[in-house]
Amino acid sequence: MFRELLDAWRNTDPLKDMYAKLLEMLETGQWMFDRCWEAAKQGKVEAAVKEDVYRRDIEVNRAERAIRRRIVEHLTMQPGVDVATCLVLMSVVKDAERIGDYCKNVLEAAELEAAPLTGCAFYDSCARVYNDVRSLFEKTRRALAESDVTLGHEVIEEERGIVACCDTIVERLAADDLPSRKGVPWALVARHLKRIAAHLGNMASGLVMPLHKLDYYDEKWLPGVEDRGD
Amino acid sequence: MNTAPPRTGPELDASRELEDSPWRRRVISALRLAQFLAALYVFLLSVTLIGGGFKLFGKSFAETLVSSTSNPFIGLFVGVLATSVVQSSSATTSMVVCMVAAGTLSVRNAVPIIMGANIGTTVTNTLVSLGHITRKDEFGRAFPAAVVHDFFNLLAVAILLPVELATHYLERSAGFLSAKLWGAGGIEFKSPLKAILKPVSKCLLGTFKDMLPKTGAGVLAVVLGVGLLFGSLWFMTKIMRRVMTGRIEGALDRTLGRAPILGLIFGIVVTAVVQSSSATTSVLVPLTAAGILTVEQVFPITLGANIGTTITAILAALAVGPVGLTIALAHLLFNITGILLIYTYGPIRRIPIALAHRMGRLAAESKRYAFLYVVGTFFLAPGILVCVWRLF
Repeated sequence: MFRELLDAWRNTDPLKDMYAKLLEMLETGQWMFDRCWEAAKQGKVEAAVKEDVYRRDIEVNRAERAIRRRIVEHLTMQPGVDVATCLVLMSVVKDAERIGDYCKNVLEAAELEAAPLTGCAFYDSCARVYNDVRSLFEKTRRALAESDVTLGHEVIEEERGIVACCDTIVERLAADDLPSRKGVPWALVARHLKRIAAHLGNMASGLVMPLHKLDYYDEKWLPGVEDRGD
Repeated sequence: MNTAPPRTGPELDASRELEDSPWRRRVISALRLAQFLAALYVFLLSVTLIGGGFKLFGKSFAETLVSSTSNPFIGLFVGVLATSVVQSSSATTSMVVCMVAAGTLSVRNAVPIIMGANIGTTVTNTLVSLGHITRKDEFGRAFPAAVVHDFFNLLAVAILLPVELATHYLERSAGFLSAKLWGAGGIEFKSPLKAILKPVSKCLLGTFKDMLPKTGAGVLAVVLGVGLLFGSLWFMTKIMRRVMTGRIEGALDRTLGRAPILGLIFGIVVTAVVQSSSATTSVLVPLTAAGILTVEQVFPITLGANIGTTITAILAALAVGPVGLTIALAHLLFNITGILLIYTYGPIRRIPIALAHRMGRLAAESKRYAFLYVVGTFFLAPGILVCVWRLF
């Protein structure tokens, strides 16, 4: 108890703590991503793996709540300080949490199709997307850890490519004669991979975009609608 | 078009590199320590001046004041009203310590004033909660967090004031402790403190007596002392908040949602360090409004703040002598007794919490109840009762 009391009073940098926790969330998200893809590839979701993934998701959710709470405490105790950084953090932590959810969704999609997804015509495309997203995880983590704006731009560029790939997979699936039992899981997997990549891109936009434009790096303007810079 | 991105975690390191250099930090720490010690000196000097000023008023003034405060309920309401107006129980209790040390007020008559100061200080966080009044859901959470402190203090006074009047247990036990501590060498700050305070206070009082008649000199000394008291308290609080905010924030995060005893200790330590119970408790209100804390979690922290705030009166007493220490210790014992009686027993503990929730629901439904509560409890009722007593 005494040690707990002493420990409670050690001096820490709240922003550093929050960012460390955010990076932990990303690490956990990547772990979940790898496990869920493996399960999808093998067409087999073992109970132990599912439980593990769900437990990690709970950890990710707890981490998000802890960061949000810490942000409110920080802004209450030190109003006016670090407001922009805290608002960015509030946004990107949501993206990190959603990544965990979409990884679970990949697992759930794999459960729909009892046979392994390897050997299917769309497997190679999805596998390429998986590798790209995996690389995106690493880059996003590094970009956030080092506050690397250039790397942030790279993440956003690569994310655009992955999104286009995923859209192509879904379009091809829609045009194919595959039975729905096979087509639907693959479409869902492609969709979820797209969302995971998009959320990684959103996190990188926290480095690249002004605060009020977070997540809007890919906004497509309607023809004739001018960019007002807002 | 991309403008400069918001600064993120590690980028802060680069931009704060100069600010965080060890040499600069040491210099700033040393400066802040010097500022704090200077403010502490001024605080202790102010206490000495106030005590000296009251002594100059003479015996008849002391007798008048003692008879005025002989009614304990009047003393109680004076404590509530005075503290509500100045919004600082530290200031009120420090002045009471001065007056007791100067013989202007007896310990017996001062105890209800101290109890009233406990109630009056909660007006600050109640006023902070009114900042959320335009948002019903937030206000419904913020107001109970503020008034749970009020209800605890009111309940403590309702139980302990009659007990004190019947037994004088606070006066007696504080007197016993004071005698033991003052003579035991445990708080043997008498000599060094007097050595650094006496020359200055003597010089100032002497100058005032040369300039003005005795009563006038006394008034000037008290007015100057009160001004210095408020200024030094404000400054000490400001310095300590600046120095300790990071640690306090971290400690709050690490103690939240854990055992209530940790919340109590947090409240004691933070308030003792920052020298302001309002500074501690008013931070809790917006956190509760945001839903981060619950009233049940806030409660032990506010009780800790009640104890932590007694350090200021004890510090003041070190400058004025054992009689002052008696009333300061009475303040501490009152708060400890209140916590032991109310917080440690579940059914009684739930009373202020339930009342706070009820009041919060009422106030959220109709805001006039909130205003009526604040004005009535802290200003109207005490003011009217004091005036009525004076008239009759």
